[in-house]
Amino acid sequence: MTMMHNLFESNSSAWYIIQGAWVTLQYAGASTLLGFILGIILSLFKLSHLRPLEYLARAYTSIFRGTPLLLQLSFIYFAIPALIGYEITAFEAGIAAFSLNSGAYISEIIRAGIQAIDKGQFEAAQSLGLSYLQMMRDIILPQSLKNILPALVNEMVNLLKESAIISTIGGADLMRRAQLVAADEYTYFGPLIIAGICYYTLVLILSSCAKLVENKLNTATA
Amino acid sequence: MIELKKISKSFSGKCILKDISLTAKQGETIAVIGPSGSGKSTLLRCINFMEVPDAGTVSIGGTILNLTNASELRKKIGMVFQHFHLFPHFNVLNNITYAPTQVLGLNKDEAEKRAYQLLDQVGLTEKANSYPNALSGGQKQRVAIARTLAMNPEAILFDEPTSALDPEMVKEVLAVIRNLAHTGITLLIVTHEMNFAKELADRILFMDAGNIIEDATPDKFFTEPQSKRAQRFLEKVL
Ligand SMILES: Nc1ncnc2c1ncn2[C@@H]1O[C@H](COP(=O)(O)OP(=O)(O)OP(=O)(O)O)[C@@H](O)[C@H]1O
Ligand SMILES: [Mg+2]
Repeated sequence: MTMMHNLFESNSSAWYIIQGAWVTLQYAGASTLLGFILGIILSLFKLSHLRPLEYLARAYTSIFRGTPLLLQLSFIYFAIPALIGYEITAFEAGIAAFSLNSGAYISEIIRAGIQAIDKGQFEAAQSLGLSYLQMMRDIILPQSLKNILPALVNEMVNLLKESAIISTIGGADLMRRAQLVAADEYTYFGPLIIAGICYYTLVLILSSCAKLVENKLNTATA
Repeated sequence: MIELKKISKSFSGKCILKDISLTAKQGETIAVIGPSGSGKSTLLRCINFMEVPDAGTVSIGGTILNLTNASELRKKIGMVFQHFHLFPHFNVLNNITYAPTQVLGLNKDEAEKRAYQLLDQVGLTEKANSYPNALSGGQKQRVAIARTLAMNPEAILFDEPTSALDPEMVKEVLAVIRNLAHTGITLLIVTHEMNFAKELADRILFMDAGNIIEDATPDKFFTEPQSKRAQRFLEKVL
């Protein structure tokens, strides 16, 4: 605590930054979840053998992976509202941009996960008369999920870190709060260190939760 | 009753099945034998539309299969694979009850009761709560047969059900299949177990290069095969 006193005018500014961790976590959590749902849909499109859907999903992925996230965010926050005359909050824009962006990446992860499943699993499911939906939902996706969990966590870790760019449009996340405090108190060192520790702690917690889940999944079927 | 009329199938321009016609009466046990690559698996897979024939028709109980009704008709046609393909994330009981509950709409209690009967039938009651990767190959295949039987199929297609098994496990699986023969279920069995085919089957189909070139009783086929190819094949395997 003595260090805090040296680096900050008050504890409350450190606390203000730390609270931003919750905001950052909300961005990452909501975007991973929405991105995951979008990713499932896109990956099924890609594997659907229906040309229009396949192309649509591939074009989508290509565009979102081929342009900077910052550009996508700015587009959603500045360009679209100007076009349609509807204001959106920085929070909404952030969630939208991160979800749409991670959907593209996650769809590739899921597609690879589905393709890695033994063809025999599809055949067994089909031979029992399962519908496509039943086969994917209950047989194929649960098995791929187990294999792609590390890649998904990796994606969420990336989102968590990249969500810092929300600060450029004024979202009150970790990074933005650190910058505000820094500007206020004319010192960068303390605020950035605090924010850095928060990011790193979140990443560590996330990774170890993932490890736990992974081990649980492995023992369940062993 | 299963009826194939002039089925053809090619893969990348190579003709694998040539104008095959075949009728299997309800309850019949048919063994399909022939050299590797002759099209045995492809023939079997055309019957439940796992492969869609390029030409010809497949009908099950009078209904002609198409892409729309295939999944409906597959409920009546079980399939047992060389490599079992149990669902690794379900335990044995759930492997057996999943399709009856989800596809046929049985309630959980009924499905489990039936599953335990079937596990008893294949001698694996004590494995109900095990996961597939804790089972031996022979046990897996017996669970796979129970899973198929849980759908009360009219016919079961076996594609080399014992070929992936260690010799000491072949017997236990063949014993289970033997008990299914002549119980009213139509069995089509692709196998390299000649003695088993000879003893169990009502009919032997001998395939070579995409054709069924012999269709005879085991007695007739094994004692006086008509074609040169069948003669040569039998010399090699017997
Ligand atoms: N999906 C496919 N794509 C391309 N070629 C295929 C496919 N399935 C089978 N074939 C080819 O068709 C031929 C016949 O295959 P099939 O599996 O029906 O033979 P088989 O009689 O079952 O042989 P085996 O005793 O080795 O199992 C083989 O040459 C095989 O390579
Ligand atoms: Mg084969």
